[in-house]
Amino acid sequence: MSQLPFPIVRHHTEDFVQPPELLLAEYRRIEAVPEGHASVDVVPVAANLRDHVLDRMLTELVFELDRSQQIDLFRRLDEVVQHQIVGNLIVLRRMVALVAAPDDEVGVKHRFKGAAERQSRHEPRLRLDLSRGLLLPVKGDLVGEVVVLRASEFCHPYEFNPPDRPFALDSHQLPQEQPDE
Amino acid sequence: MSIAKYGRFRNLKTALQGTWRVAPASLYKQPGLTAAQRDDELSKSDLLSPTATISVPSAGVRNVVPLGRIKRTMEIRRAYYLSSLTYCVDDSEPKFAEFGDARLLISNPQIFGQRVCAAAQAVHPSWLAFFAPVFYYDPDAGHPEFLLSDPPEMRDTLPWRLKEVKYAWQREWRFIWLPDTELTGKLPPIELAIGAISDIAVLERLTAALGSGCR
Repeated sequence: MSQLPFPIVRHHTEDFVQPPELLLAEYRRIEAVPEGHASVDVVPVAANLRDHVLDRMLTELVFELDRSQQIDLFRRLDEVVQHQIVGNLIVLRRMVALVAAPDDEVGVKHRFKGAAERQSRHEPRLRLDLSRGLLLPVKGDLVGEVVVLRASEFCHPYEFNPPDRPFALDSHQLPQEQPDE
Repeated sequence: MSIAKYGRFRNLKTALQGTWRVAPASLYKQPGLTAAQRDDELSKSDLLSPTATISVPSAGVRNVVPLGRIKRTMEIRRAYYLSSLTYCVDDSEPKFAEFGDARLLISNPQIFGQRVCAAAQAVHPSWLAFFAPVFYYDPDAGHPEFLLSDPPEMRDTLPWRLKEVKYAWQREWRFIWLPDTELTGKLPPIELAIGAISDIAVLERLTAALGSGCR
């Protein structure tokens, strides 16, 4: 770095990600991870941090799971989403629905689109993510499926648990309309 | 140490006379650009380590082993502006000719940086700005979450500074501005009034002498 022409400069640090001490704490956590990525934590992000981070950047993880892993993962996510994760309730239910009915790809996609449109009316910020689809079956092979976790509530690597408000669902953030099952 | 801006002679002449043009990042995705210029500056992908697993701590899911490797894509969702320079100034890299027929060689980067900063702040005082080197990464090997060599307040800026290793020959240093509001529609370039910089820079036409590579 000493050979670089400028010092690294940053203006308006206070306007970017707040609170900075929170991120510093998070960085310390990451630094403690052994070399490489021992684990990719897909974690819910609190609303106040989400406004600063996810409005600017979205991390998409695409990975393939075998079928038993997939069912277990989505079952657990479904349990979580009903209690803890703000927003995206519809999305995760759709993911579970697809696992339960893998042969019904067209129908699920159709309903998926409908859910996205409904949610977008209440939270336009999510429209782009949802319109691209969250779950893409591998053609001709139902043993493995490609999973795209793109929900805005899941972001790596930021994790934040405000002590007085641990991922509570706010009524105004819930979708006003439930999707067709 | 000097830095340089490569481009068309007439554009760099305008810069020398005091108008520094800054482009929206989306501009660099246009198909009409050369291979050296074109890149998707709003989306970067890599493969995570083969040993990476998936965990969802809040759901009690720990270390699910995926089939194959996890592909990560970081998408920058808000428009931003950037201006690129290089600290490869030894007349050596022939591919710089893809940027144009001339270069602006700036002998005092510190003064230049101050003038650009001041001009940008005068126009957009509330925009976040940072100026830092690009980090080149191999998509198959992945990139870190942040650079230990960065000061703490810069460690969340890496997504705006990532480029694939195939561009490493450019040795880029970039100016980045993040608007404080979401900009939509076709974004025009911004022209910063930095004042004439002939006291710290010279405009040169490229010659066929370029060629031995920048190290």
